[in-house]
Amino acid sequence: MIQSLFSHHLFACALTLILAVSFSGNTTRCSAADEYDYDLVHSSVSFKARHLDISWIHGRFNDVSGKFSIDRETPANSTFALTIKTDSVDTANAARDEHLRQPDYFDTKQFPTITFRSTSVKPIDGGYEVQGDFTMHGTTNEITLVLMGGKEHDIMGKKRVAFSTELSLKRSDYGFDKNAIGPIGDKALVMIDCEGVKK
Amino acid sequence: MPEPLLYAKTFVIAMVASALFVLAITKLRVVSAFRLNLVCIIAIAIGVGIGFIAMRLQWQWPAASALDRFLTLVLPAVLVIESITNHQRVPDRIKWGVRFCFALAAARILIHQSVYLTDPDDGKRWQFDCILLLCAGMVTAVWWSLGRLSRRSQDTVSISLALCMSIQSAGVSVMLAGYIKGGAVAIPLTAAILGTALTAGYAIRRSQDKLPLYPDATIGISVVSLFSVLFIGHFFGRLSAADAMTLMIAPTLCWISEVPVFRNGSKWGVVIVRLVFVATPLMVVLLASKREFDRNYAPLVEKRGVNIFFEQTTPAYCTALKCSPLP
Repeated sequence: MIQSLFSHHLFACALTLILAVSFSGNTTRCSAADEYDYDLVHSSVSFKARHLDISWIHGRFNDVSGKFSIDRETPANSTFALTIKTDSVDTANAARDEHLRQPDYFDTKQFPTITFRSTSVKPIDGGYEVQGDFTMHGTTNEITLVLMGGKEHDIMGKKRVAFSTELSLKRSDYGFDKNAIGPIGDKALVMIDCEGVKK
Repeated sequence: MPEPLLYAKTFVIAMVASALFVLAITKLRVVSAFRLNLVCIIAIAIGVGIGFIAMRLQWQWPAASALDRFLTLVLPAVLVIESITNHQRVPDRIKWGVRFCFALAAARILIHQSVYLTDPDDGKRWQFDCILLLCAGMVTAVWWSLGRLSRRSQDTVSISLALCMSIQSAGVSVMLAGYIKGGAVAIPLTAAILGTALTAGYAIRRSQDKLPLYPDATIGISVVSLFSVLFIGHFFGRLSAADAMTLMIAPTLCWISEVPVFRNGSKWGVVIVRLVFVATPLMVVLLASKREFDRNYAPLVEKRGVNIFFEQTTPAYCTALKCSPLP
């Protein structure tokens, strides 16, 4: 009887210890990664593309959302995600924007979003090197973003962090019709400046 | 970017390829109604295929866009369905049941994975399902009425010509609404159907076969092609619903030739009446589309004649400006 009680007590202690260790481990991981929401007011996703190979046309996407979690202790655990609504394309010319929404270009009814989901994060000097899946026009390619920044700022009790990056894309790599590339050019530069507000 | 010379070349190549195939087969042997239908279906497939190659039209597999789905799923499916349902042993009820189901499926396939299904407004999904049902009903009604007219008047050629005019007008309207590739697809379709219909008409005239020869398949493929171009142009491009409906219904105006005043006239008179009555609403839509194009895309056209979207600069101009390559 005493032996049975003792063994029960021992088992309960062991279980508590295992649960406590595993729970405390999770808690540590949760607290290490800070989660941020994309701040649309202080961020921008803009692009420029060649026109007739003599100049640049600039544009931006006005409807962007995303979130990122930054683990300062174990940067590999950090994640970055961004979703851009293609319908919100804005090149400061309503007629051109309408044309860009058509299936010859973004095909916004078929492909309403452009997304980026990180798959691996590596710290570099002054930021992070983020590999991830970039999906545009129904085609997903793996790309590497060099996110510069990451400095935190506390304003009115809310923590903010910001990153900047630029990437060069070939539209033909994303299922855009090569015949429709014409005077606008195949390559486009995308500039992302995003600020996150801690949840 | 529209390329008129390429389009003209595509049209001629597709039309000649289809016509040559029909001529070659019908010259070799006298064919029955069912076999002539099969010949027409294969001729259209050949013409369309060669036309798309000549036009360097790109599509993806697995199909990603509505146009890809039309080219890789809907168009081959209608060719197969028409080659089966046109057999004399297939009862009319089954034939039209299959055609209605196909029209419904085609609409659903074209709209697959688009915002209309993935991100519908609250409570709008059932309304959209009703629209798909109405579309399928309209396609079947147009298909049935033209098929019936073809048998009643024993003339498929003028109906096919009317359908070709409608498909080409639909293509131009879709292009004028800003979707160039979607409109360009109509060119090989029109050319292949036209080449097939004209040579099939010629084959029927010289046939000694006592069987009634109505290549109904041409009508079915034309109606589905017309519907697909308009459906894609409206739901993915900026073609208005009114224009799309007008272009879809216009071929049924061929029935005006059955009014006693026209029906008792000469055979050519009937053909002219059909084409004139069908062409009238098509012209109205085309003029309205051109006006909309001028209104919507005029800001994109520079005064000196250099169009931002539709013209390329000359290499000399680029060299003079020392264009720098992309970083």
